[in-house]
Amino acid sequence: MLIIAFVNLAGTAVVGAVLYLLPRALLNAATVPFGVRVPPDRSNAPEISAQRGRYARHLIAATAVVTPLAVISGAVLRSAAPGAVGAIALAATAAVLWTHAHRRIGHTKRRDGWYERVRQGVATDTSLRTDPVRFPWPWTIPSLVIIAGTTGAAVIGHHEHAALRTVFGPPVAQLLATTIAAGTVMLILRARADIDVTLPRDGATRYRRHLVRTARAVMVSTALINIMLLGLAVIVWTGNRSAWPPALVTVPPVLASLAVFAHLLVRVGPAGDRLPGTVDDETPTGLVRRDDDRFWRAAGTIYLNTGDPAVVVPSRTWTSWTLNVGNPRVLLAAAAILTLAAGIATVITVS
Amino acid sequence: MHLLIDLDSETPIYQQIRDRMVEAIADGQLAAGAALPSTRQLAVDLAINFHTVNKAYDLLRREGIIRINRKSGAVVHPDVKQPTAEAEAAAADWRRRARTLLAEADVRGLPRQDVQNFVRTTLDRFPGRDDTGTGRPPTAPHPGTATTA
Repeated sequence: MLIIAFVNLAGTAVVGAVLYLLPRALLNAATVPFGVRVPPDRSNAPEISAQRGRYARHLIAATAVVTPLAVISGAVLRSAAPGAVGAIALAATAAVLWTHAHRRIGHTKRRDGWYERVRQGVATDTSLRTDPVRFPWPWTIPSLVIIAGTTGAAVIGHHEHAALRTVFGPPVAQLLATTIAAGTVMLILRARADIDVTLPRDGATRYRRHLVRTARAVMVSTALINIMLLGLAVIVWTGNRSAWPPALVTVPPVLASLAVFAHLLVRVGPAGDRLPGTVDDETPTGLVRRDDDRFWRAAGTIYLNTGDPAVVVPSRTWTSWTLNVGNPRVLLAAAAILTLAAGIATVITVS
Repeated sequence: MHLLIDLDSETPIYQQIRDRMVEAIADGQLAAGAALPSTRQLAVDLAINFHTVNKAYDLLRREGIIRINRKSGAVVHPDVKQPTAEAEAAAADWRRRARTLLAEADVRGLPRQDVQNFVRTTLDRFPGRDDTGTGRPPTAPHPGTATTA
């Protein structure tokens, strides 16, 4: 009963807190409030401040209503489902508020001609291609050691009658997670650079350091996930049915992984914006990042540009990257992955 | 090198790419024989059409400033900053364009001393050349030659 109440409370309150933070400056570049590109001197325009305030007020009110409802109905029904329904309702509320803010800011931007008196530009650093940031191979060693240890434990400790899937499933899952992480890092290292066009030398230096930190963070996080999988594997192999061991092996690695990404958000920032500068003598170019709103759909969250040869592009939200869904290679890869996933699901179901 | 493109400029993008690369070679940011990104990669990085970059690279190749090899890709021509027959042939075109720019300065009323100082200091900031006209790199830094980062 108490656990159900806690799950429903945590489910809605944590989702509410994350959604509250979503449009905050902490998680976004200053020049893309609510997924709308604005010139740097407009990043604190009255309309943007008003929409930030409106979003925050309405979301806090919605969380204050949904959370007690989820806890009480969960207690009455003796179920964690109200917490999940509450979280979905909050996410839908946030989506409506975000879209409203996106439209209002976009309308004001067009009405007042925010880009009429500024020169737009793009910048890159060719050395990112001719002398690229290398894949952080030493940072994969912890994951490889953990996978080797898990495989060794599976081989030495397995019972003759145990199913192969139970014995070798965990190291295979670790290998899969590490491969996906390494592939993601390789894509990120080759992605279009997000370089500040106003101070391109400083922007390129920051972006290079941002890439290094992000690549390492992904590999550290993967090692932590592999530790979690090892812990879960030991629980399955030993047949322990107690409730605490799964929590002990799951929660600390997940929290540590979140701490790694929180460090990236707070100390590194989008394209390394929050890193200390290393170039002091650069004269501003007088240019601003180009207004590419017309290529961003779904309130500035999905990039669709059929004329852009890029596959991976800097995202407008959070400090991450996203895919160009207007690129045929992205669509082909998505279709191949979906087909593969459907095939694997079918094989598992049939067997 | 840092490649900056002004999207609101009247100068076409391919011409801006060509101009920035020539400046980077003169500044010493790109050395003779230095590798350049592939046309496709540069198009991705600048979010512009692949053919625009191709046009810039083709112009640089025809001017003898870069070399494009199927295997090694695009590189700065090993003979840049050296007097070659191609450079002599291109000099007439350069003089015509330089005369237009100087004429523009004159028409706009810029002080001649300022123009001369600008030309001198700009040339002095280009490393890897001496002033003898031989085009050979000096064995020691020329007095008064500013170095660039």
